[in-house]
Amino acid sequence: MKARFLARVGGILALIFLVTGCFDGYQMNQLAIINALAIDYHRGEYMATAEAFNTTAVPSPGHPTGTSVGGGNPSAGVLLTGAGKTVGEAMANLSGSSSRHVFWAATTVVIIGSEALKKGLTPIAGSFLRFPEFRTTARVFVAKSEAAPLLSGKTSGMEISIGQEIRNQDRFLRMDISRGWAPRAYDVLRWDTQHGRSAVLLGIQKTSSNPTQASQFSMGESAVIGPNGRLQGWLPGKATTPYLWLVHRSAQAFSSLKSPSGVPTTIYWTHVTSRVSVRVRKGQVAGVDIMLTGAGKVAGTLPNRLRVINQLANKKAVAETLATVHWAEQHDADIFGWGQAVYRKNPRLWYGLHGSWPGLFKTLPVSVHSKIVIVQGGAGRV
Amino acid sequence: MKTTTLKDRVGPWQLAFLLATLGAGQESTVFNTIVTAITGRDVWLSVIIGTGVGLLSMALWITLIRRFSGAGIDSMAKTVLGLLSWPFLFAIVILLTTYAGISARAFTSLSGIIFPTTPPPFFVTPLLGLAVFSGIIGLQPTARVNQLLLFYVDIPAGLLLSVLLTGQQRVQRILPMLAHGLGPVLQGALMMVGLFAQMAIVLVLAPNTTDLKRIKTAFLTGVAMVGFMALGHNLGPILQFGDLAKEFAWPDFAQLRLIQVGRDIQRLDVFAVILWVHGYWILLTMNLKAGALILQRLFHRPSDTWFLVGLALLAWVGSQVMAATQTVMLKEIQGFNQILFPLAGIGFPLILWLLALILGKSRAGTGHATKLSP
Repeated sequence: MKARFLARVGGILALIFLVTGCFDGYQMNQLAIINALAIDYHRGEYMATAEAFNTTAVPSPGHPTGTSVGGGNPSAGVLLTGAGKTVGEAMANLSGSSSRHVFWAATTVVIIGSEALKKGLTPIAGSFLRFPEFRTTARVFVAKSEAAPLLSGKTSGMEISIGQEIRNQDRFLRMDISRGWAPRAYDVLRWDTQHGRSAVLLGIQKTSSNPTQASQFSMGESAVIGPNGRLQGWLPGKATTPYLWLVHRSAQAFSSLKSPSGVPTTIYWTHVTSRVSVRVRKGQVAGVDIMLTGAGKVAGTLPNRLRVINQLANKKAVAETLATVHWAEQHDADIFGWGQAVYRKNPRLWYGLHGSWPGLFKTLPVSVHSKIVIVQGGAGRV
Repeated sequence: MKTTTLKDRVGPWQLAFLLATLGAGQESTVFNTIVTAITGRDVWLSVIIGTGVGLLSMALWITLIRRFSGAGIDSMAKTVLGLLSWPFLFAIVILLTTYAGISARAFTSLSGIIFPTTPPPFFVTPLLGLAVFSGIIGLQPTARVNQLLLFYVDIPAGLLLSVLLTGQQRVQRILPMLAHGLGPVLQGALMMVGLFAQMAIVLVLAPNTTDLKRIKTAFLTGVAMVGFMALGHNLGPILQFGDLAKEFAWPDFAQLRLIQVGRDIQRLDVFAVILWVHGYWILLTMNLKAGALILQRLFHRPSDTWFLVGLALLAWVGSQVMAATQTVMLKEIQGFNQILFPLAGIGFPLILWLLALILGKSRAGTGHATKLSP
């Protein structure tokens, strides 16, 4: 009995020492929690710049305004940098440069600089996949020049970091608190496996150049990355709305409209969605049919009868959609995933194309029809 | 005829739920990774074919158990083959113990995602210790705890996570079907057959069941439960990622990491850790207990405790020395399930059944058997 009792006590004591997780336990003040990451390419090396939350700046009962080195106004974020031949090496060197344990799992924003983008998307996206701690839910943006300067500067308050400002801007554009237009890291990875499809990454730029003012951001042109991972061009801001209609099947945006009476008016596309079908006839890709449906609003006094505005708005939607399709055809960029639709419909036909999809995509007959209902009302959500 | 001790006696449904947990813990982790990598977006076809074969293999075992009045595979083999049965039974013990070792190794890989700097023995030792403890205190308390966890934690958590994932999933991502032909689908299905063969081998514990009348419904339901769960776990990542799911180390876990409710409710993948611990604990317990019971009956010992401890020590050593990398580990698990388990779990009982039919043997001459309930 005594031996059994001792064995039980010994077993329980052994479990106390063997309880897992102790090795990976870190106190908050030992962590550098990364919020945003910028990736650039300089002189043959990737540069990783990360914005970590400044945990010492968090107000506490003893320090109601937080503390900072040198006694200045504490910032919500601190910047860490690292360089390497690969993105993974740059991130590892960045981790090594901090006295704290660099914690990547809270990264919500990744910005890729234009030079890094020219080296291809796959080495960057692949690194995210291979960093086990990195969350693939981080939103990916691109900068038309260098990415790192976007992370430096003042924020609108010490309780908000620059990464959060960028993320909030993205959420605001979609008018959805938990989502945004910028693709997630895993969406970017997924483009690799799609058939002839080009990726569209939302471009971001600073709107205020004054260093004494808080940083403000806007979403501008989007980078279009080909199936080989290389930059194909920059999708104009105007073309983004029809792209979102066709691919995400939803977008809220404004378009100006010139009425027959000559008075300009603004249409607020509250919820426009699309149905796209790729026609396959006699073993050939015959064309693409697009039908736009949904709703829009016109605010204020009507310059013409609502029926007339309805017709004009629908014509405008068709014209803007065709302009976006034309841009894509000019740049050999299947940003809509029509190649994948062909593959899903008829994989044999797709394999039979033997890589001639880009040429076929350029000459594909596309027809657009629109049945968007325009109503009179304020610019709120429907 | 000697009967099993009370602490090791379980009802057919209890045993079926133990088998279901044994299958579910693995199919959401290593099986999901391996079968998805082989089959890609057609993984659901592999699961359906594999489950069909699994139901047939379980039906074969039920036929055998009924023919031999609730005897275990050891008693059946002794009746049909005599002394020739020993090498086969030793091979089954080695297979179960080695697989327990590689499964413990897989558990360290999984835990390494959450705790990257904690050394592997810190995961394996408590889990194997728990498995030995469960084996010693008996199948009855283990089965009761298993039922509580399965019905009050695992299944509700699994359903909740599935519902939260549906918003991002698209059915069209499973198209086109069979783009790469039937070959990869059958290869993936063979892997699933291995899983169901594993569940069948653990029916070494069949003499511990109390009621032979209900084993047919219970065991077939257990297999169907695992098939249904496997369908969800394997189809989910495909609907989420499309063919990219092939590239992920743990696709099911990768999709759980995407859950976000509103702005702040996220990181719900922690539920997966609870499911892993539960699944692998039951897997190790059942494998080691089955191996120890075979040895106990072969050597006519009063208790299986020291066999259990010995096999657990071997499994512990195995978990430390087998498979230096995750890729090697997955290859080894694939080998076990595509070749060894179908041979041992379907091939061996099939031979026994055919021989029993030819030789006209039906009752276990010696060993342990379950009494039919009134």
